Amino acid sequence: MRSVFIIAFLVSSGLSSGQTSVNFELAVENNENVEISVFRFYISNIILNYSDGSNFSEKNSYHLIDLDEPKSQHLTLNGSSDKEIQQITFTIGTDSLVNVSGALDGDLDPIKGMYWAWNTGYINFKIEGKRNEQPFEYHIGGYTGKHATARTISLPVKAEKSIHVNVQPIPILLSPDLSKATSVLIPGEEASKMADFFQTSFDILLENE
Amino acid sequence: MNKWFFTLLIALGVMLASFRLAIDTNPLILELPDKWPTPVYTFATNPLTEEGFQLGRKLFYDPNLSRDQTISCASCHLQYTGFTHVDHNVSHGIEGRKGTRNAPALINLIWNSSFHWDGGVNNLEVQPINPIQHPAEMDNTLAAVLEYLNESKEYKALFYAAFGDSTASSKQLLKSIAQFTSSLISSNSKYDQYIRKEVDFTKQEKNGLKLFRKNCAACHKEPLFNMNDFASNGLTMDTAYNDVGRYAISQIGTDSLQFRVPTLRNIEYTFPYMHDGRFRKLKEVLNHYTDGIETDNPYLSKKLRNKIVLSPEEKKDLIAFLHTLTDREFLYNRRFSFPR
Ligand code: HEC
Ligand code: HEC
Repeated sequence: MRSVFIIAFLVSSGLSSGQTSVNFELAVENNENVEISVFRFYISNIILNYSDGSNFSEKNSYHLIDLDEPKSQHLTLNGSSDKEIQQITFTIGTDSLVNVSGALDGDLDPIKGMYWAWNTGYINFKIEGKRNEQPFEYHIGGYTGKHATARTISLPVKAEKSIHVNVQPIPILLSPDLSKATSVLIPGEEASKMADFFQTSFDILLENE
Repeated sequence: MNKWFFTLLIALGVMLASFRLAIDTNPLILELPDKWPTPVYTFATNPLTEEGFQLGRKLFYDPNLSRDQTISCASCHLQYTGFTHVDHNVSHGIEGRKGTRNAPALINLIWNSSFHWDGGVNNLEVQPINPIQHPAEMDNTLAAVLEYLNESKEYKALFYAAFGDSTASSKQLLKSIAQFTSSLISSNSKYDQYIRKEVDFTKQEKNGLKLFRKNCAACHKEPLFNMNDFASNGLTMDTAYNDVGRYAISQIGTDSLQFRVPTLRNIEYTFPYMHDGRFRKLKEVLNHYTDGIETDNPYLSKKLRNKIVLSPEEKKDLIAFLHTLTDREFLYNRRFSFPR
């Protein structure tokens, strides 16, 4: 009976056994004070922890999530298990290894516009828009030492096949801490602070489990 | 149904993958000079082949990589001058636009751990994205370059021969250019022959070498005559560009006015000198080291805090030695020249 249910579920969700979907819900509906025009970020090294203590790490796990590309917001993890998931861990941004690895392809292709040539490295996230009519522009990257901007977070999950990650940048963009920084475009202290803020905009939508 | 379709796709994929491996490339092994340090660039993810090298060479000499099809890599990196920009203190790009830095010589790059005067580029493979996109250099986009390459039958054949895939991607574009630039090895100057005991130095050259080892070699280290590090050799900040050097990359105050220690190989031909090309003659460079350095300059390298004293005769000897770093075989090597 249960397996019938699972099969029905799998068919309806378009997922086969051994696949898990991670969906990023970007909460950027235009708020009266904030208008977001560009919103792109990397998610890498996704790990699922199952309630039986085992886990799954996606191989070659680098994904560019782009507000303008709805397909990019839905990831399918192949080779995962159908067990109950307890926690998801991922890095917002790219790890230092890929930042020093020369020419790469896929979502890490420098043609994607998330790459600095003059100061080699990936732009881990880009948010551009207007806040209270004032334009802002954040291109946040940097992979070395205390200026590293990749942030790894773990979120509790209660799900089997589909995880919904809610990303809400607006409260952060409106926080008074950011009101003076209208443009952060190079690695450094400011960028690293931005990365600290940005990681708090991720949480799990529990009602969707 | 779906499953069968998938299996079929996978089978096709495997076939294609093995097909790719089956293309015939001619592997190349770079001959590295005896007793030199281990290179930083290892070719681990970019196996050197004759096909990849020749593709990279063609790209290096192709002005169609620039937005208005006028400037190739070689426009600023000319072989006969050690792959630097002849006679320009700062580089000139499309429409005569001026850059802010002197084009460095492209010599023995696989031993460098970073590139550009400020070390901002961390891997030889990704370096070309800079000139391709720079408004004062080629002012183009990677996408436009790939579009051009993918419309060319000739390039499609060359990409296929090198990588088993006729579609040019940025990865393969960059890897093939790196196969060319990594091959630019100069190791057969008179100095090298002297070290290998194949020729002897004149008395003047021998004295020059002695002076060099005493005053210069702490930074311009043999056998590469460079250092994978940054230093201030006491130049005052240039007034035209206010170039802060390494600081722009590291954001660390003490890195202000620090620049990469460049190689002195083929220095006879790579003028003008320094990151802004401020000196045209080696004599001027030596005059800077003996008389141009203010020893209380807070950014000055510790290695230059003791005043360098050289008599006019000694300066001549030192220059005679620097000329022994000229490697004509490298400067005129047909393999590196415009492909015909
Ligand atoms: C308009 C002139 C110009 C063009 C065109 C140009 N370069 Fe350069 N190149 C420069 C300058 C200037 C630098 C130094 C940049 C800096 O330090 O910021 C440089 C630096 C380099 C370096 C680093 C060398 C080192 O030791 O740090 C390499 C490698 C290089 N160029 C390769 C290329 C390739 C490959 C192309 C073609 C895709 C190219 N260049 C096109 C001017 C040019
Ligand atoms: C403290 C380390 C240091 C010492 C010692 C030193 N140099 Fe340099 N040298 C540099 C640096 C750094 C540069 C690049 C400076 C710049 O462009 O801002 C340079 C640049 C040069 C250049 C120009 C190279 C080019 O391609 O433009 C020449 C020539 C040169 N040095 C010769 C010498 C000689 C000869 C001596 C000894 C008398 C010497 N150097 C001692 C660090 C040093």
